[in-house]
Amino acid sequence: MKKIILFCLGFSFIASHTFAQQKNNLESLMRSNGKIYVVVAVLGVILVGIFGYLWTMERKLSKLEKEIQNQH
Amino acid sequence: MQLSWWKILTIILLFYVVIGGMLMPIPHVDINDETSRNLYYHVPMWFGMTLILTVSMVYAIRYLKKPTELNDLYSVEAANVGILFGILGIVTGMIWAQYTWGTYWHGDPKQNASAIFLLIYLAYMVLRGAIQDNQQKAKIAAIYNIFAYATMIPLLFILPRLTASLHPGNGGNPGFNIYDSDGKMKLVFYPAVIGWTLLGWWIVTLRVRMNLLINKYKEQMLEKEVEVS
Repeated sequence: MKKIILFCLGFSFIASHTFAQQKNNLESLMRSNGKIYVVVAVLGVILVGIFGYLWTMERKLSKLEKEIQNQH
Repeated sequence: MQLSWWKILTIILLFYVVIGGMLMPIPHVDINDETSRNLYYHVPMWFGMTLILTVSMVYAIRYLKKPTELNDLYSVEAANVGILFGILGIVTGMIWAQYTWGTYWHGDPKQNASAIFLLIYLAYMVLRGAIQDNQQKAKIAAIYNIFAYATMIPLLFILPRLTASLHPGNGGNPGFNIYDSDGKMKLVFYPAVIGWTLLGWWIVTLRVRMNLLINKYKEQMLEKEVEVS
């Protein structure tokens, strides 16, 4: 876990120089069209959060159901 | 991992509804402006609520015919999610009303009637909490569920149409079709109703499975106690 975090930090530090060009395009996109893309991004995050929660619930429940079945 | 086709469909539909709903063009009306897009989020909450509460009532009837734990669980969890959708519908409606009709709540018949309707279902939850014995709880709650559901048509569909209301389709107003002059909003609206309703049903199935596990666990604990003593 620590290795993964350290790797991500190092990578983003080095890559942020190359991302400067793409960042400008992202900035101008998000500010265009009355900034509606900001709203889309917000709602997208909410949806991902909801589906992520449902996903983890599914996995937990399936695991518990298998356990209880195996006990019988 | 019960990854059914309709769960994947829910995910796809809802991403389409959110992205398409925000970015696809809509006909613009004077006061509503861009808020007409709420048609894809506020209205499906109510459609979803009526559909899921219908299922709750059907399972209540099924329970009365055949008193199994599963029938009762589906009935109560569908009622729970129905109430959740109703609350979300009212809150989102209040936000929409504040910026188009001028106040959060002005005594509009549909607003009042839907609040009363939700109170009736909240009383269902209070009723369930008040009875200790499981089988009695399920039976009385099932009977109440049917009567609670019966109040839906007069409260939500008849009363607002008889009196002065600001809601489209009620109180002598033209239906929402007048705001959807080029029919394009239907492209996102129909998938929205399906998507949000399926999401509600997904939550119902998860809660039913969770409660089944909790009940089995309690049973096992009771068996262990009996063994030990």
